[in-house]
Amino acid sequence: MQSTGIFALASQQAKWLAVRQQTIAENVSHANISGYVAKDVVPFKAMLEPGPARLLTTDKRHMASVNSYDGIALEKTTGAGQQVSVETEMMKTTEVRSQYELNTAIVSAFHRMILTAAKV
Amino acid sequence: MDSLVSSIKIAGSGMAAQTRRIQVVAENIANANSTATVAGGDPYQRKIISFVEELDRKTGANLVKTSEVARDNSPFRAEFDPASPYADESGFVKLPNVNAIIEMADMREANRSYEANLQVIKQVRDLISMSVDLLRAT
Repeated sequence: MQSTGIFALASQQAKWLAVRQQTIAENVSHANISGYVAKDVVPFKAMLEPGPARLLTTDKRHMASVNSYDGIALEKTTGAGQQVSVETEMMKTTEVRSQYELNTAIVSAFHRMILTAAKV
Repeated sequence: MDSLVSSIKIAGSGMAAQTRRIQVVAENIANANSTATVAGGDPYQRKIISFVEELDRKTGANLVKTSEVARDNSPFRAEFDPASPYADESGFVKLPNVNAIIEMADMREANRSYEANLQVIKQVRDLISMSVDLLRAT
């Protein structure tokens, strides 16, 4: 079955989108803190390529690295002294939403295909 | 899913912080004319809060919380009213250093930030239900 690769890829992207949503939530809620620097996740493409080695969290009590969530690296998007633009964050929210919709639609489409094949 | 749940937590902490901010604005506006209760004493001093980052150790998410209430040290307004029982020897009554326009602007900003956080929560709810919908029979 060749389609199993697509499920792994889809779940990886869903995780990436969830982390992106988390950075958006953080940027919006921290928008009024003076000196706060907005962040975003690295592009999804970068996640698929083998990157630099990172420290592994093997225990729940290990402090999460500030520069990554769930093993997905973050990058800063605004310079020091620059305010978070809530409008940009809302735009990113829409992006996340449409990509997530596409993601779940693809997963359910492939699932239907497998069901069709299994029925015979 | 974990990131989505902590997104709700982060946005919720943002909303709580903005609520506290509006509460402080309400206190300032309500006390805009509160004088001292003794002659020549200091009136109500404007309250200020600021937001600080807080690391939630359970989830590793950066939450927002409000700092302790601080006081605005700008000078008080003075009004010449020798008949008032709260006037000092030269006949001036000290009034609070609250500027209603600044408070209104602050309230608007808090309102806008609250709405933005609310939008984030709505969006996260939709994302979670999209995932759950995968389990539904088509």
